[in-house]
Amino acid sequence: MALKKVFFSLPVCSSRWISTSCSRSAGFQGSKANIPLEMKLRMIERKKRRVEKLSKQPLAFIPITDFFIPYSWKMDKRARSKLEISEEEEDKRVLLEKEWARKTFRSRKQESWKIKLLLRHQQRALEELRQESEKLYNAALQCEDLSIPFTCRGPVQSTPLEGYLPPLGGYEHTDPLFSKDDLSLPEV
Amino acid sequence: MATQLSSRLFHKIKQGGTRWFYSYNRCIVSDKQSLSKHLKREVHDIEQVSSQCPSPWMLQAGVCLIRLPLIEEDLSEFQKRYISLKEQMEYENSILNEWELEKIKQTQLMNDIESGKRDASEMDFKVSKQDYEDDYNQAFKEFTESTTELDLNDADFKNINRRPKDYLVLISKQKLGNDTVWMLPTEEWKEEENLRQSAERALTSHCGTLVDASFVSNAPSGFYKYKFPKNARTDAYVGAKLFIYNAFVPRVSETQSTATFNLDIDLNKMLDYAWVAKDEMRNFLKPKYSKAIDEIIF
Repeated sequence: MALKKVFFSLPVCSSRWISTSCSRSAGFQGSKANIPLEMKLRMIERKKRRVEKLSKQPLAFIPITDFFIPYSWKMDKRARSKLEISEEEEDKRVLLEKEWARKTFRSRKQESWKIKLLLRHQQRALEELRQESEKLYNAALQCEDLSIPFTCRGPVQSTPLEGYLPPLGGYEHTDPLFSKDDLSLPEV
Repeated sequence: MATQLSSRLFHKIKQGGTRWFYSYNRCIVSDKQSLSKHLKREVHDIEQVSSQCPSPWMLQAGVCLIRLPLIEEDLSEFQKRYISLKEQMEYENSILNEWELEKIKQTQLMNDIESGKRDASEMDFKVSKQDYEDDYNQAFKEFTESTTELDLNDADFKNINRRPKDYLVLISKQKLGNDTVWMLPTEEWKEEENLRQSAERALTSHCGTLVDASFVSNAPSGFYKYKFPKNARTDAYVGAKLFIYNAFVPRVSETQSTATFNLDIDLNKMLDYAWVAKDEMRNFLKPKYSKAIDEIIF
């Protein structure tokens, strides 16, 4: 008696059955290979029409954004010759960066401490006021009639010149919002 | 929303001979409810007592008119070193720009023409970029800033533009009893008035109505308690509680680098005035008073 080959069905659950050709939206493989000539020509024409439509509209300007580097800038001929930095110089730089980190941390801490002090003094004043009279305390907590948003110009860099009258008015930004450079093709 | 800080503070108050102790969590409070949550129990007791015997402290509102710095502080040595390092690193990590590319091309072209590789007719420029750069550098060396800057007299205490890098406070000389005392412009609180309104009144009564000042909040920024000298003490008042309000001299335009102060003095109230920086306050004011103001200015 010849032994029959028996296929045992392995106990596999249906959700783990993966087949690469069974993707729903894939369509049939090679569905565009054997198309009659007429249909091919029609498809090509449709594509052409779409491209014509898009090319009729004027090119949209890309806004100037500093963090997008134009492709042409990444070409090698723009690279600066690298300066050789000695080990001592590198060490100095690293130590300076660390010192700066320490100092900024410290100044930040001082600033936040000053703010805390200001708030603490205000707190104390409010508490003392409360002990005196409830009515005044309530009035002090009102949020109406405040100069919010409070605007104040910061300090200037240097003293004013003698007899100098600054021109009146503010500044108007006249930089172009859009650049044409980014649209150029990369130089080869 | 109240956010809790880490430690507790015990505060001692002397009121009419008896001593009151209370503790509170220091927290940043923005509305009445969260403060009352901590102080509710204690406040009831105090209110009952105060309704029986009125407080012996006169309420006063004072104005701390602050002139913000006009000019930036100088960079320290360390900051200058760091800035130069950062500029150096930015230069090293950058790529060549169009001017530099052109310059390289031109120098290459000129070298080639000299060595004979290329024809002299290929020169498409008359003045090279390198020549322009040389001209610019020369002009920079010859340039001198020939302008004289305003000499802001630091010694004149009445000039609002003195000491342009510091925070200045307006203090005035007032009569307190028989003595003349240097202090912030203050006014006693009247009925039917907020404390903020009495602070504004203090400013206008001392300096006139033309003064520009922007008050920031309805709540006082600082507090100072003092007792009157024994001759001046009456049955009603042992001393005064001064609530200090911060006000800022406004500087609204970008181009204005000096401040203006339009005074209309009432010489009965304000005998003398001075714009005073933090380190000079001790010369005019008592140490505790100057400390109270010192910590309110940023």
